[in-house]
Amino acid sequence: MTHLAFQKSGRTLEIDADVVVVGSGAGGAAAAVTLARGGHSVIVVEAGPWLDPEHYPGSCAGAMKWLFDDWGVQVTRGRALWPVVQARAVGGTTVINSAICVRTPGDIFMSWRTEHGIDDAQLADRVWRHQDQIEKELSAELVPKTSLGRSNELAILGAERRGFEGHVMRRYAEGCQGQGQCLQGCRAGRKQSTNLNYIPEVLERGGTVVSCAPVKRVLLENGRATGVVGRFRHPGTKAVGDRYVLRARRAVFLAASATHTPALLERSGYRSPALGQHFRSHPGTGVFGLYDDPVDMQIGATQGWASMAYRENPGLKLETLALPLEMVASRLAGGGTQLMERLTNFRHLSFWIQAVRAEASGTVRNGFGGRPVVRYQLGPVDMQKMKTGIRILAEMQFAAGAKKVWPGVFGLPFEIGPDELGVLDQAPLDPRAYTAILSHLFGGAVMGSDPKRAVCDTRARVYGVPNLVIADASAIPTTLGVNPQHTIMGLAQLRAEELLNEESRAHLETPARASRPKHEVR
Amino acid sequence: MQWLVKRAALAFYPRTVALPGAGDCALDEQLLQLRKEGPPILWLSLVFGAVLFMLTPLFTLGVPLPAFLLPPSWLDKHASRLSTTRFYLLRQAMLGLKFAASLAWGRDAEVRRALGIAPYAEDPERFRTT
Ligand SMILES: Cc1cc2nc3c(=O)[nH]c(=O)nc-3n(C[C@H](O)[C@H](O)[C@H](O)COP(=O)(O)OP(=O)(O)OC[C@H]3O[C@@H](n4cnc5c(N)ncnc54)[C@H](O)[C@@H]3O)c2cc1C
Ligand code: SF4
Repeated sequence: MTHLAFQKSGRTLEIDADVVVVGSGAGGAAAAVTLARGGHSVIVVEAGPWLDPEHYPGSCAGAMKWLFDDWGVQVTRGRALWPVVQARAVGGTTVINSAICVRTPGDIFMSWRTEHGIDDAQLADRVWRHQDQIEKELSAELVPKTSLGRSNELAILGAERRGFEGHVMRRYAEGCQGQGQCLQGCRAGRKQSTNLNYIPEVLERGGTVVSCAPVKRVLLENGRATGVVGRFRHPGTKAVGDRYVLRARRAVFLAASATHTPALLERSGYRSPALGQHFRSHPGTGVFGLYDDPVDMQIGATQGWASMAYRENPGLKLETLALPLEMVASRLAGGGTQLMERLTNFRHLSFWIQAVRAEASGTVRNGFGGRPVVRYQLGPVDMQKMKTGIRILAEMQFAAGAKKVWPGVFGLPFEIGPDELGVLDQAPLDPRAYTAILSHLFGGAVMGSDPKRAVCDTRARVYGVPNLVIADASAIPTTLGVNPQHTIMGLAQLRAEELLNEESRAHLETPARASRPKHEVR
Repeated sequence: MQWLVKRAALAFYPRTVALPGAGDCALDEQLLQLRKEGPPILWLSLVFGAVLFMLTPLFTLGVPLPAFLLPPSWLDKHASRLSTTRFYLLRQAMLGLKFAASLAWGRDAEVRRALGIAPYAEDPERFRTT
């Protein structure tokens, strides 16, 4: 059981194992634990630090420093500069997310089959089987009624009155206490981010976790991935530490996220016309409702209500979201005393959002200092969806009793009343008018049957390097229209299981296979 | 350059009767942290935004003075107009300044008390080392 954090001794750390897993978030942790359960020795290497709930920051600034990738300031290049938000910590983005658990919808497997040649009739059943297991292990449950808070209760009412489907969310959180701090990490230890379960289990099963250790390159030798190299980085001071070489006897799993995995492959010298292509997302934006009585969105589950009513048409998922004061303060339009006046209403605000199932496709490249460069821009069709979503959310806020809504769209009035909804139809289709973020990311190293259009095959093995496996969101070739963590985890476990099954078949065919050596730490 | 960024950022969150302003919070510490520990591009964009903030009263108010020489009521108007300008990059640069100041303002115990919301717990600034 070994955890190695930031090291600075002047020596090179060298370790061997059966499998090296890069990244410890949704995909990496799910793959690593399956491999460890299957008897493999596993090294998980993670760019960020390992924080336990007692280390989680209270403030947004603390979260950005200790948990967010690049302080959350990476933005898309395109007409609009929208933040691309993800984490950099053991547990990956599961530490800062809201733990919403949604199974992969059946139509997704159909679209993978028809559009990407992923012709596996059993795929859906196999992913769902893993999702059953994950739901049990990560305690997926409905947000308790007592922890909903008023913003979520108002959303239930708003949808009911508007007459569309809405539901209390199911999340990987055991007895959520409604402390509304998911974004800064759940100090109550309720949210089941992977730093609390799968990663510790990998350690218990004899694995190694190397944290504060961004991988620089995957070692590719004669068509095989033989390991990874990099240098430790102190998460606070950013000081550079020792060099390390982690060797993999059987396979390397990449799970560094939809932006970092393609960038890492590019840095490692891997070339494919599909590398960095097909980057997709569910851009999110929202509408504030202003109520007479306090809403106190900071009390209650960070996210507790959702609707799938518009998933197919026009392609939106609606949710509640408790924004911390800092984010409300920078997000609201205006400055000076006028902004301060608006902020006095903080306790009377609710914030409901839409995740747009965008058709746009962008690219990811390896940029200066190993930072991914994301080019991504929504076209008019997607912007029309976003505009429709703003109207739906505003109608819902009024139905729930809001006296005003703040749509947050440049070019529209700051505040509109219930009889001014028509104003929203004048909203521009220019993405620069909207303050959106990208938090559901897909693609960049997608799977598919055509090596010209895909980086990895239909079992997520990288073309030309069959023991290099993509186990994160970068392999997913489409958007999902639902929250992605469950799909990423289900697929990652399946990939790990496939490797184990393949090896046990090979073992049966060659019984004289050498016994598995233990970790070697030199 | 930190004073320049601070001068500009302060204008977005001035003290009012109801609420403390960014000047009443640990803005210096926050800016120092962003400069030392944040990604270099973030600090660069804050300096860029602050320079633009100082040079643009001519466009927002028709006054040929740098922003730091404006009387408080004009500065207030300048901050408000600049943060809603139709020039996207300028608007984004102001958003960056607001973001930096809001990190200090929104975590401040007095601000949170004035709004009637719970204070944050301390940031432990620790991680697992073994
Ligand atoms: C604020 C927010 C809320 C969200 N809420 C939900 C939700 O409620 N439900 C849901 O389903 N989805 C949610 N998501 C999305 C979901 O969390 C992600 O889709 C998912 O975690 C992505 O999994 P992943 O394995 O691809 O990457 P990640 O979970 O991001 O993990 C990647 C890991 O790789 C590490 N890494 C990167 N580069 C390197 C390198 N060079 N070397 C070593 N390690 C590296 C990173 O530090 C990170 O820990 C949310 C996202 C955000 C940002
Ligand atoms: S809402 Fe609070 S208690 Fe519930 S999971 Fe999030 S941080 Fe934890």
